[in-house]
Amino acid sequence: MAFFTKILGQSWLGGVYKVDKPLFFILTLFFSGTVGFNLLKLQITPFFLWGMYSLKVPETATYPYLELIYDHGHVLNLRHTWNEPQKTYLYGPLGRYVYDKADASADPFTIYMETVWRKKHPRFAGLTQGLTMTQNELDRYPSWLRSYVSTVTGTPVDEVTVLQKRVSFDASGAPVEVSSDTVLHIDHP
Amino acid sequence: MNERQRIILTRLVTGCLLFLLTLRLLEHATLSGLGSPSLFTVDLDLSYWLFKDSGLPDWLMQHRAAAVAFDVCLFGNGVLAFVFPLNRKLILVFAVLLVVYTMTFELFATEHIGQMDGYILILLPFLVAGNRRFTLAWEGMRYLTCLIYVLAFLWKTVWGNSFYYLHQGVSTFKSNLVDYLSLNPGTTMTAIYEWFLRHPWLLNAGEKGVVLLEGIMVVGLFTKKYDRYLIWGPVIIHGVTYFFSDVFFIELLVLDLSFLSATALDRLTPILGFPAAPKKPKKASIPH
Repeated sequence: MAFFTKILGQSWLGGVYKVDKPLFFILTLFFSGTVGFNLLKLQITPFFLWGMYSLKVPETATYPYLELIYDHGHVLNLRHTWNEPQKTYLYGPLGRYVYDKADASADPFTIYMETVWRKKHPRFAGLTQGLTMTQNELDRYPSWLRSYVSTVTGTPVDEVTVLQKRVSFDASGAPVEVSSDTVLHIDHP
Repeated sequence: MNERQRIILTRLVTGCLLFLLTLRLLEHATLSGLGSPSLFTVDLDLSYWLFKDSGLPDWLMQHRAAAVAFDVCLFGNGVLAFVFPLNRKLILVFAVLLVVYTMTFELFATEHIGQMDGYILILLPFLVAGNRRFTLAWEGMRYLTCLIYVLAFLWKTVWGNSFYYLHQGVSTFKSNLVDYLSLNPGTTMTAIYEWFLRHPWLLNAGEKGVVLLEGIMVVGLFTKKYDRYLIWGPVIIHGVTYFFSDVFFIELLVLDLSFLSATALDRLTPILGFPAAPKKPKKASIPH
């Protein structure tokens, strides 16, 4: 015990304890929380999970991606490093919308909340009503997408088409299109 | 760390944050550029539940004037914190605005983006008063940075299974770069990427190398002797994963500043060491 006390006393945390006990308490809590929540695999900001790409990504014959075409033939191509925040903001919700097939009741989080969480915690059910997307919110998405594409491209956009493409790679490493399906089409009303 | 070094460090951190936020502003990715998004996600993060239930993010997004005013406050406060680095109230306001921005962006981007976590964490030590206490808190940020990469390593090797899948490098590469390769045929970068696809073992070995590099950061939890090398760990990890997996975590590198030594900060004195606040004028002597 004396050995551990000595080690701790000489450590950074021991230094904090000697200088400022409340700070020691806060830092110990923060570090313990960070490790603890990662062990629990539950994120509660600011205790972040750092498990990105911890599950295997299996190799498949084809790889999908969403291609966004606006005003009859212009392909939106955000290829530069500095476009990344815009790309995240554009393709995150788009992927979600396409995955849910524009149906709020198909959203996995909504299904979980309705079938599991609210039944387990009926007292708090009222507080979680605003945490799941409504059909009205999903219905508003296409018009937001058209307006954001207008912002990104810097021109008023009337029509947006989203294709889900599947691609395979040939022996030279070049992509070869296998299929292309229209998953969303928006026309200016 | 002395007061001058604290000034330089604060300016370095707030300067980096302002630079990254400016890139986001130009890319219509700050609140005033996001429009009125309708989709969102809170996942099981209770902080996001409370944040969404507060009504603040919806109010900000539905009122254009509020979003513009928020951006003005965010940048204005950041600049003030840069100019007056010893004013902890300015830093507190900047930190709160950054948290609100990050959570709002992630809420409506429908995913929790690890790269933005640095925005929430990095300013916390600067809220501590007194140089001795600040030095200890900032040292804590260095330990946290090491811990983050060690946890990432444990996730891939102990709690997850990706490290043991030998094709992880090439499969991640194809999954994440399929759009770039399809939309940009004939570019130099595409030619380089295709060369790597013809040599997939390099991608797979590189992926394992990156995971091991995350594990090596454990050294920093026990000694500071190798900080001059460890500082390059996150730079290599995020540089490589960006170019070979299109995983953009460059913004998280603000945490890497915690590896900077006092000597390195002293070298920045000519650039960032200008007075923190105008000195009080001495009482002028009245000529008789």
